[in-house]
Amino acid sequence: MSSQTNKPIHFSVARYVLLAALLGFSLIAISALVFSTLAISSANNAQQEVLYETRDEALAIFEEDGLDELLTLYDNVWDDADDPQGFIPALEAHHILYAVYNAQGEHIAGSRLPFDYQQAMHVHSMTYDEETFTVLTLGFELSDTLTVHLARLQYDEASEVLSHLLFALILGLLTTVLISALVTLLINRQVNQRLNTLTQQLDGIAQKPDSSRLSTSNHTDSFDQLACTINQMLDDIAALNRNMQVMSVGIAHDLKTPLSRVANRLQLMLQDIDDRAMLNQHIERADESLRAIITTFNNLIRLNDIESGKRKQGFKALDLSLLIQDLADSYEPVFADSGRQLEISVVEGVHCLGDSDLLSQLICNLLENALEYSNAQANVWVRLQYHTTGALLQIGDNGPGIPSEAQAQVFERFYRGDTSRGKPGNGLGLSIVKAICELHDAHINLLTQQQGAVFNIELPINQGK
Amino acid sequence: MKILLVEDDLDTAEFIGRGVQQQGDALTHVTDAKQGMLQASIGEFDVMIFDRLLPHMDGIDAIRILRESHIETPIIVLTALADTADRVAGLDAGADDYLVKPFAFSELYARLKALARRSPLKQEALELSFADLTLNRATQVVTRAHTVLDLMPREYKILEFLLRHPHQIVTKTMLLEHVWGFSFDPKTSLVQTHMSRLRNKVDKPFDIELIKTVRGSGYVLSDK
Repeated sequence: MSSQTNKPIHFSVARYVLLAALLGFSLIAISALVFSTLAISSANNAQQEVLYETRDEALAIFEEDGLDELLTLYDNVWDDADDPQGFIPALEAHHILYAVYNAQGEHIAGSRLPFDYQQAMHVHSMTYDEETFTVLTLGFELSDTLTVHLARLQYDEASEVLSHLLFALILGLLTTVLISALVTLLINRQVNQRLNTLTQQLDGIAQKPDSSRLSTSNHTDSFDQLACTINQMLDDIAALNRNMQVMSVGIAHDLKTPLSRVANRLQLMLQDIDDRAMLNQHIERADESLRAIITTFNNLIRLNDIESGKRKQGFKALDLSLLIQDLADSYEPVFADSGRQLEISVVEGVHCLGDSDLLSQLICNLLENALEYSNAQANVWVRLQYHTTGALLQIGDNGPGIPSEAQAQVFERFYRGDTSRGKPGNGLGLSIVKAICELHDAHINLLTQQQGAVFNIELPINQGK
Repeated sequence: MKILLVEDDLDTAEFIGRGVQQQGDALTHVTDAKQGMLQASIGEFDVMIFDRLLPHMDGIDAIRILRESHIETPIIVLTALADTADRVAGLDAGADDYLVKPFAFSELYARLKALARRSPLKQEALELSFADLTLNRATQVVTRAHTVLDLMPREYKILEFLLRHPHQIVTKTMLLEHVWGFSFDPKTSLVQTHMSRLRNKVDKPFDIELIKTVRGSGYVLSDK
């Protein structure tokens, strides 16, 4: 394992935050522009509307009360005699100025507007004090003989609004960039801190893979999920390592011992080379030992095959009830011949997804264990029934069972009840059973507080098939 | 029988060669796949044995090529690899049987005989018979000397298999594979127990023993 320290991680969200912020800002800017344009045009309309309203008001008053009343009400008159240039300031002061003309076009009342009478709405441009102003005029007939000319300043809303808008946008842009920078700094700091802590811890774990694990806080954010996943992976690797260690121990006993026996036999054969009968005996014994070794190897390969998970691809829907009933029926004579009772109780129609060959092996292994390790004339049973969300398969015997101190290890590779390893078998049978269960997402456990060895297997099933 | 052996391991070849010679059959031995394919296409063999791990080419590929060239001679594959994927790959490529090393010679020989003597008609026949024994596949009724025998389902299947291979040695492993569908070897005497029950029903009440044990090999249906 390399012991090089990794360089600190520098992860930056800058470009993303900035991009997002600018995008958001642009959207706001465009909306603001569109809104302003609409506001400006409606404002312009509104200004024209004021003139039209004044006209309508004047017409109404004239009709009701006559010209004198009208003139009394509208007392905003600009006398150009005082200040000929003062039209614009007067307009600013009075808001609206008017002039009344008779049928001959002579000025008879109101201010003297510097425009000729023109019917309807017109726009004029005037310069005053080096500034350009826009003036709206509206000419209309008061009666057959009288005409009125109204004048009003058109406020340059547009450039005012636009300049305000521009100012606001620039301010907004600066604020956006500032906030982006701040947010980026905060996120970067947090993320890099977590990432670097993770890397440091991982470096530490590489030194002591069996004991240390990544720390997780209560945040339940992505980093914690990552830490949990890595911890799980480390646990799996540790388990694999333990398996390999156990394997070495098992191999030392279960393979080396019979191999040594074969070697001994060969020596004995050399000694007894002229004794035909002895030779035959040695060969038979050697053959037995070799068979045991080959069986162990085959079982190990089988176990590997199952644990690799490859066989899951070949899973098919199968009738579990039929499979179990069939197998149990096959074993019934074998149990009878050995003086034991096999009781079979299988509920019909249970279907599941799986490998029928593996499930058969599972049942054979458990039944054969019962056959071999239960008392003479023991009762053995196979039961299948529905159970909460799945099916429950129970295979058990009524004695003598597995001693409580051995129960925790019974599924481990090469674990044997008989520590002197005198009896045939290689301690892989139950490991294979457990591996087959795990492949099928089934859960197996050895029941405690029982007279004999009773195994419960909970399997997920296909309902309603 | 004329047998072709494609095997590069000389120890295995010698082991097989000796056994075949003792049985009085003819063996042609080549050590690589190319030679094997050549021999297969020119020779007239009853059955062929292909090892999987051959130099330059996987035996399976050679088998596939032979099948694509319409060479239908039965083939059995030998290998040290025992996992399901390999077994399936072999059968998919066109092999007819698969045997894992190490094997007893009697096992190999029994399978060779079964493959060489395979008659397609027998596979499809509705009624199988041997001496005074008849089995009707449609009704699943078995009679011997016109007496109906009451067989359990497994016993029926074993008898059916024996009837499909008359006068041929049927090994325990063959029965486990074909009658029980197991790819593993259960420890107990499952086959023996059922065989003895079958014989109690088929042979015991009658004069002539039809199901015989061949020590070290298996069982055979024979009236000699």
